[in-house]
Amino acid sequence: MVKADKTRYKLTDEELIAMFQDGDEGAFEELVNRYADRLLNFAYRFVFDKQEAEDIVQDTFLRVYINRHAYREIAKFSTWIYTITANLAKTSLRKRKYRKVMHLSHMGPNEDKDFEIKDEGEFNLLEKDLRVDEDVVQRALDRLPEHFKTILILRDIQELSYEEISKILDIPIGTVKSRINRARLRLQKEISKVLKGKK
Amino acid sequence: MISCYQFKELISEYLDGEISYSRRKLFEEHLESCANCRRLFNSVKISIQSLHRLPRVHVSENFYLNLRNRIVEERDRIVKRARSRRLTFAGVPSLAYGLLLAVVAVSVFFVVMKIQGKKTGGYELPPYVKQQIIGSGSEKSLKNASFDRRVAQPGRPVNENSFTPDNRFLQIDTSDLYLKEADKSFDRETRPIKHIK
Repeated sequence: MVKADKTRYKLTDEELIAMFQDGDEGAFEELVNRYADRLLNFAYRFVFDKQEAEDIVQDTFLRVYINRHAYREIAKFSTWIYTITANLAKTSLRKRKYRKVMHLSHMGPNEDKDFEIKDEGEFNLLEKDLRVDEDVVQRALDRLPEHFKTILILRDIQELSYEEISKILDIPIGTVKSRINRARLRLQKEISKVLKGKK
Repeated sequence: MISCYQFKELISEYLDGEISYSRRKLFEEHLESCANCRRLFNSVKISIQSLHRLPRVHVSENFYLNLRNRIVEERDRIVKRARSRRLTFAGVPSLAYGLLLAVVAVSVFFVVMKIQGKKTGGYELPPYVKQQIIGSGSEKSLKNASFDRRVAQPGRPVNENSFTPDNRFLQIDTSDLYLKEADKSFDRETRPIKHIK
């Protein structure tokens, strides 16, 4: 049972969701305050559109509100809410990719030249550019397969532990480790390609 | 000493501080000795730092107000849906509908059976009787040659009065015949038919 004398900001996420399940709407507000920015950054790096990212986060909180009783304290609240956001972000991205494919299919034969970048000297170029600007990193992120992108955002932007990532993605820790490594290797390759394409 | 492939596999574990002490020593030895792997290592390191340096975004001023409005809308929608379900019995599970349908179907079946049972309530002539009638050329009357159900009751003797006026020209020696509901198979030898001229 949650102690009544504790102020809300001192409570854990799990205590807050328990209070919310008992009908305390203030506990829900506290959870929104805690997670709004964190989830926004996660969704934003996924879709790279602030308005779309905000919609995803609002959808996430709406689902938490409606399905509050679906949460059981066998997992951390953060794991649960990140899982919801990740699923919504993936769905949003897929819809957008579909729209993009439809758009490209209407282009003429010479209009997609900018999308071709040759692959040579994977990391020499990157070594010289010690500071890579946001646009390049985001473009490189967007070029990654979805499962690499998700795990990199969770690990290197959200800075979650291997264990939390394992629970959110529902994969073993060993897979988390190897996937993070492969994703990082791939990211540096994609950054080099994007940089080369710019010059 | 580890190979370049093994080195590549351990880069993230090393950068995240998740590598064991013994492996770490081997990793660092390889890092010192292999220029190619060193370049790769630095490149990955820069990529991760770039991700860490990405600017953070914050929710807009309207975010909380919009969220509140959406929650209120959703709550109203749920309440309306619950009310309409109460009125239209939409909340009744489909299993209940299925059971109700099954009960109705079974009832209809029994009612139909009962009606049909009244229509065909008369007892049919035993098959060997019909065969003998066909053999004697009295096929015309076969269609109507059925016992009167009022007479041919189980346990009651059947005699010539048991026939309807249409087939009165037939007379069957059935003085010792007792119809038993459970046993409708008749012995041809012991139930001879006599034709009256």
